[in-house]
Amino acid sequence: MRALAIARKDFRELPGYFKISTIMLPAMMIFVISTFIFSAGSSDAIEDLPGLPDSLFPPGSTDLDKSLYFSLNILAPPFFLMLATLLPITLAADAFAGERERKTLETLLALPMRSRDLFLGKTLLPLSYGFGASLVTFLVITILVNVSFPDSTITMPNLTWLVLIFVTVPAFSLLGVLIQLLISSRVDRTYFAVQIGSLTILPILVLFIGGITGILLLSPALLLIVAGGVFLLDYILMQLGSDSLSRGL
Amino acid sequence: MSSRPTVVAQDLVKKFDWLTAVDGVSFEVNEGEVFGLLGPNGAGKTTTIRMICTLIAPTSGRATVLGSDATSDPIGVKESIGLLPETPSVYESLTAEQNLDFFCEMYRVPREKRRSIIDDLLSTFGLEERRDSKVQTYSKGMRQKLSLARTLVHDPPIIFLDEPTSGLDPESAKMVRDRISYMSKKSGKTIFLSTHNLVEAESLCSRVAIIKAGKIIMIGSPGELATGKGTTYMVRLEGNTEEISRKVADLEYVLKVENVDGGIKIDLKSRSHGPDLVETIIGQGGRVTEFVKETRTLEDIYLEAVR
Repeated sequence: MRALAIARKDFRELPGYFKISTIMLPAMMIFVISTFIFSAGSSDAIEDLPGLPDSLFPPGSTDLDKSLYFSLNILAPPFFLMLATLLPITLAADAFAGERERKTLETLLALPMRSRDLFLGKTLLPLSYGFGASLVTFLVITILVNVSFPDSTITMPNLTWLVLIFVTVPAFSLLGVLIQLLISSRVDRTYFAVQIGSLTILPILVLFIGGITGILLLSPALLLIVAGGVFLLDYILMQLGSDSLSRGL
Repeated sequence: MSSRPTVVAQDLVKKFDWLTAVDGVSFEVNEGEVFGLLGPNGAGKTTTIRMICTLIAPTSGRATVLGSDATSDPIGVKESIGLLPETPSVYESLTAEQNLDFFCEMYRVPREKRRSIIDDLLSTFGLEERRDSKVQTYSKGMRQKLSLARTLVHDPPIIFLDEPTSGLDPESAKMVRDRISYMSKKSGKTIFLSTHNLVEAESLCSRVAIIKAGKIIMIGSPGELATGKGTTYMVRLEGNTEEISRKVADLEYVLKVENVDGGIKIDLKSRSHGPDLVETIIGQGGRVTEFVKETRTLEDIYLEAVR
């Protein structure tokens, strides 16, 4: 499949420092989210806990459980989403602008493949990178929570996180990647693409602020609804991207 | 050589905002020929190639390659061509072998044939010893050879070469020219060559088109173009050169007269007017000491055309 060949080629072209970042960035995600979770046990965190409906918690939940729930299911997911979206867009920024910088874009566009396949090929590497990093982070956090809070009524993995990892993260990652690819196909320098593309995280910031202020409760249903809207947007952007490439250089 | 047209451009126009880069270009390239597109920088050569190769859409007009329309069937066009852009276009972080393997996969070369094709191309272009080196360690000449090799992985019947020897050392340039000649004569491929190098064009091309400010101003074989511009004689004589020049310039079959150091350069409509010219000069009291027919090179024709 030509799209896979492009993704393989892109992977081989990744500079060494970027391959190292594939380890560093999930490590950073794990560190930040673990900090959220472990700070849940502090007395300050429990005292400052916003009022949450009791129906959210299993019977017999302690203040520590409530604090852990708040950190794990309300604070951490938007932050996680933000990082999972930012990681792949740095890769996607290079997709076309980098080819243009290296004078290989003309050759790539002269290959006998549909614009949609080319766009898909350029999507695969950053998307797999973002999803892979998220999955590793999720697994590590799951282990940390279960080892550190064995007696808590708050379980991990739970439905919120499963929906987040397997539905919402891919939807947002794809959104970030597609927006970035569109920008990358129209600018001359990867640097410009990164700058403009970073604005992609703005909608996630809304979720983040909504979460920490207690306005938005990130339930599995809300995550699914948001992801559904984002997937729809992804589809439209995929069409736009393919059309944009088919118009040529 | 067959006369079947493989590349056809019909009244191609490309406008970029206020600039008309290509303005009504039409030509046909026949199967198996080396067709040269010559012109100064910014004349519209690369834009014309890009339209034919489907990289940009024409504002109006039509281009076809082996019957496939560049606008409605871009994949059909792309499958039958190999394109070598002006700058070496290979992936520098990959090795030569990885580059060729990637292009084999993109052109759907059967897996079982890839190894022999890659070996053959690397050997042909003298790159087999560096097959596992990253391209970023290659010289410009080696990159250009690898670029040319990658245009051939799918054995396309038509090859577009945009300034293929630009910036190469003489040895590498000769190697590329030899390969172009081989591909045309031995493999029967149609070559579309855009170049500034007029000596190269004259030695390789069976026909050339000269493009200036987006318009084709001359088209034909180098020989036809030379004949079309008349025959030039260099005449050295004793006598009143200026007076004789004026008289000669009034003759009906004389296209142009130019006084040059020690003689007169005269363009005639046809070679057959040579004896009449000599007779006229003698009749004006001149004594002809030298009468030489000048051979017009493609460079002479080109420079006259683009001035």
